[in-house]
Amino acid sequence: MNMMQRWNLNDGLLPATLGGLNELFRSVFDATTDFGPEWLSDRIGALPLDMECGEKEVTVKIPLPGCKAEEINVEVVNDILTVKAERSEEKSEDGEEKHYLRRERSSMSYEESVKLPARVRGHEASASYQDGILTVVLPREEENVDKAHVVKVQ
Amino acid sequence: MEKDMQEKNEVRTMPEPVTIVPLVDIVEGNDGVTLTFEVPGANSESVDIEVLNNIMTMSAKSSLQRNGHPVVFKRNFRLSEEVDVQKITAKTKDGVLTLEIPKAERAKVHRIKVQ
Repeated sequence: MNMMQRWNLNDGLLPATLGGLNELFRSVFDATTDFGPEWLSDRIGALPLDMECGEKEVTVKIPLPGCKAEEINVEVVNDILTVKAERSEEKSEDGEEKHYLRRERSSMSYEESVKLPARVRGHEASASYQDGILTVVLPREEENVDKAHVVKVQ
Repeated sequence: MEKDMQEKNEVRTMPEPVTIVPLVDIVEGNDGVTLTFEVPGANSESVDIEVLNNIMTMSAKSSLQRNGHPVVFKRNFRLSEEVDVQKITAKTKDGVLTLEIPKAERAKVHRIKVQ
C-alpha cells in the first residue's frame, strides 16, 4: 500500500529525484505548519484604511502596496473622498507565464469612496505615496456652529 | 532605582503590536522561487529575514497602526534542503517585499548533452 502511494505521487513514471522536484517545492511552501490560529483570525492580509479627524485637518491613510504614484487617482467632492488605483501586473523577464505555487495577492484594481467625518476644503487637499501607503491630508473648513447667536428680547 | 521603575512603567504603557500575516505570491522559476509579500508601511530598514533550522521567518514593522497598536507583518515558511539559504536576497519597494530563494546547485535541472 505504501509502495502504491509513493508511485502515485510521481504518476508512476519517474523516481522522486527526477520528477518530484516541483512537487518538492510545492510541498515545501504549502506545508507551512504554523499558520493554524492565525489563519482563523481576521489578522490576514489587507488592512483597512485608517482615518483620523484632527482639529484642523482630516488625515486618511490607505495601504496600496505595489502601486505607482501616477497610477493613483484621488478625488474629493463635498465630503466624499474617492480613491482609485490600478496596479499593472509585473511580467516575468522572458515573458513566459508565471508558475504560481501560491497566489494570494490580487491583480489590483482598487476603488473606494468614504464619507469624511467633517467638512473639508477639497481644493487644498494634498496626497503623498510612500512605502505603499497613500496619505491624504484634507484641511477642515472652519465651522461657525459653535458661536452662540445672542438674540435680544425687546 | 526610581529611574528603573519609570522606564519599566513606560515600557508597560507602550501598546502591544498587532501581528498580521501578510499576503504572499510564490512563483517558481528555473533557478529558484520568488516570494512577493504585501507589507505596506515597511521598508528595507524595518524588514527582518531569519532562517533557523530550515524555518524562514520574515517580519516587517509597518508605520501603520491598527486601533492605536503598531502593526507588524510576520510569516513563517519551512524551507527544503534543496534551497541555498546563503544566497537568499531581499528587497523592498513601495510596500512590497521581494525574496529570491535560489535552488541549491544540486537541485537544479542539469541538462547533459549526449554526444
